[in-house]
Amino acid sequence: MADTASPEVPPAPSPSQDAQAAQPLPAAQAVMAVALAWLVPGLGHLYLKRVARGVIFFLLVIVAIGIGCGLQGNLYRPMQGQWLTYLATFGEIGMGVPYFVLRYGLRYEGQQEAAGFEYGTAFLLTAGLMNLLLVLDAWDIASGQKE
Amino acid sequence: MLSHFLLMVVYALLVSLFFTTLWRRERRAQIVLFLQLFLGMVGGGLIVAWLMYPFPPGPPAPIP
Repeated sequence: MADTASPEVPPAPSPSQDAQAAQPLPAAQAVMAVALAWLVPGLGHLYLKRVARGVIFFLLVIVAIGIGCGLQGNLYRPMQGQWLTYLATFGEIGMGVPYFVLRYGLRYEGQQEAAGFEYGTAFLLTAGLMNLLLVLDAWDIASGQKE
Repeated sequence: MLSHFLLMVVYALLVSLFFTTLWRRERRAQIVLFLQLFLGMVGGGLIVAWLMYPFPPGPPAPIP
């Protein structure tokens, strides 16, 4: 018996919906979104009108930084001859303004003798890396590659 | 706050929530991914801990 049913075709998105999802922003706005995303966690998403996600990301990164500092984790700075510290510093600078506030505003460094030093360092590094991913996500949204 | 297990759970919670919000939009898909990530990290950590259990601990690291 021949199959006379028409093949299922997914409904085409409405023109307005499609344009909203894939339309890239002008270059200046995309760069602004990326810069804001790096400076303050979640701010790039707020700028791109993803308010709920921006607030959630802000809270998650700030909580990670707060726990890391509470545990006296290491806030890396480059040390001559120790090349991994350059990589770790880059990762932690990914958290944006909070890194510089901690480093130069609050003179925070962490305490190597603290019981939670290693855990705190993991939280601080993770906060920086999460924010770097947010920068990339803001770029994807601004350039129309992601909703 | 210095319980190893509690810190692992808090860390897994933060990272799971982050990637769930980053990667999924629909509520059901978010719940599925969150559970996969969270249980994977906590369960994986416990499995690795048990695998290391037979090995004797080394001397404590000197504090520089």
